[in-house]
Amino acid sequence: MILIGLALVLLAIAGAPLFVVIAASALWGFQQAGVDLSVVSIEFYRIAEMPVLLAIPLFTFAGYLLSESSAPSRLVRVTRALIGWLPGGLAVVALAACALFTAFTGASGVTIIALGALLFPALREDGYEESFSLGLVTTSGSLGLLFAPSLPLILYAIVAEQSNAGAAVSIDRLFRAGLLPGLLMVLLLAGYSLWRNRTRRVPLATMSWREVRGALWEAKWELPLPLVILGGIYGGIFAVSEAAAVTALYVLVVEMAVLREIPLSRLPAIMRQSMVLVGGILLILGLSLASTNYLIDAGVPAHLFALVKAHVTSQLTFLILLNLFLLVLGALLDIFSALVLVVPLILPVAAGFEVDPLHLGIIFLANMQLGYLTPPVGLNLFIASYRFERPITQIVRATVPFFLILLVSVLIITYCPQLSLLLAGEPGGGGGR
Amino acid sequence: MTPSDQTLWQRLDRFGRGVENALLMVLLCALIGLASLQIALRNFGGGGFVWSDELLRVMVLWVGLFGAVAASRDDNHIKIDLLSRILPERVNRWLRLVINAVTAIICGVLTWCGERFVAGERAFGSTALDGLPVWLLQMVIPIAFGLMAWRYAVFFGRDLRSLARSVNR
Repeated sequence: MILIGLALVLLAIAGAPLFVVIAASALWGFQQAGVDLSVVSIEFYRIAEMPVLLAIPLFTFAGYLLSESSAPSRLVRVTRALIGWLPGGLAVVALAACALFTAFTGASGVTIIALGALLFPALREDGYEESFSLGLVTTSGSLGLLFAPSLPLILYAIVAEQSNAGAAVSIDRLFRAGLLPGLLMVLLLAGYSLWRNRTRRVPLATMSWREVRGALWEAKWELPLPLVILGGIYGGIFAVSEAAAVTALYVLVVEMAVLREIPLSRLPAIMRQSMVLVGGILLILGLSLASTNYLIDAGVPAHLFALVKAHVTSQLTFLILLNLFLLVLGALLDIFSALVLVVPLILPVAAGFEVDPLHLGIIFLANMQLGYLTPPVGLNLFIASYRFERPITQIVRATVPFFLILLVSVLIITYCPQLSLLLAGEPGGGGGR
Repeated sequence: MTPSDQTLWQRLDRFGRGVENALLMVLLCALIGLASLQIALRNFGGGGFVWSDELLRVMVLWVGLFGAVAASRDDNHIKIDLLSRILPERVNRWLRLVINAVTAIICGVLTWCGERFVAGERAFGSTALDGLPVWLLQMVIPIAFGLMAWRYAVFFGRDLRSLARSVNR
């Protein structure tokens, strides 16, 4: 048994597709337990029984399409016109624009490619140091993970609901729970950016109403999108899958028919690219439904809880250990795999230490956001290194201060549950669907 | 491999890619269209149709699985790539050989599981979407895993050939 486990871990770090490792462990477990193996397919078919999943292909496609258009440059222009006149304004522009864009495009690294490529040269032109600019842009690539309607938030709610460990996690409560922690991250990073550039004496740009009007007018087609979608979701008017459908249809019509920035011949490739990502996520989700089912049948979460309970007595110690564990996890696994594999196991344990499942979700995702910046597999590091043609080591060094700021905010998020729970509202209440 | 074999192979590959793209496009457009239509009907047309919810959910499964098949074509699945960056190319080639073999085998087993599942449902005779036998919708599971198994078997064969060539040399 240990041998098989070891072989699977070895396969995983050797670069085998993760779904293969998950499938193999589920198949082997059910085989040992004498269960008919068609159970793996039965579990996989549960993908077709979750209405919320509809949001994943629709949002992913909309995000890919947006990042191929000139929407990123319009977004930068609007944000710049509105807050670019502040001291250190462009750095804050970068943070705000990236956070909004990442929330809408999931966390697949497209932010660095679509926005970072615009912001990095702009920052350099405005006289920000190279190391600061690189770090800022690399870090911003995953900022906004905690804002609706980001895919990881949706996926956490789905996984938590599937593993039915006590309290239900409704998506709209989770969306509201992410607001303050997400803002905290943006504010701390903005504060650091201002402090770091406090001695820079460049003449400030002046706020020009003309530029504001021009920028808003240029972005008139995309502007309603965040307003309608975020308003609809946070206001509890839309279900997530409805918001996703509206977003996908709207973006498709606007970018392809109204603005015509993307040639029709590009569309199949964009659709394919986005569905490859969706396929990768759903494949892992479906197979991990099977492997999780086996683990629950085998009583692994209960054993795990007993084990942790034997060594850890207070909630505080548990949270410290959780942070450490998630840091390592985030450094090794991508956010989607980590979500579907680990959340079902730690949810019941966290519940035993009276950690609210909403709070756990925010802690989990905030930690995973750090994982985008930690070697050896931090996605943002590789994308930034590739996009800006700088060696990985330089990127890592540039992101260190930003990483530390984010680490501080993760600790605040972890040890102040109120931050996550204040806006979430009562279970069942809050007017959401 | 003769040059004409190679072009045949390339043509097949292009053809397969085209079929995948077309299928993904049709599914995704249908998904967007149906989901939007459903909202419109729910708000303005009194309810929509009974089985649109179910059809949408099944289409998500289909688009996901064909997306996964498309990911297999370029070996573009989510993975932890820790060792290949450190190990020398010689070792990596052997590792890839093993990984492609294991992937093909596991996908083969999943295909077999899928077939058993579908056969079971077929015998049971349950229906979905207003009378359609449900096993028809579920066929996508063995089909997709079968295609992935085939894809990785091809990768395995390719690696084996190139390894054999480098050993002979």
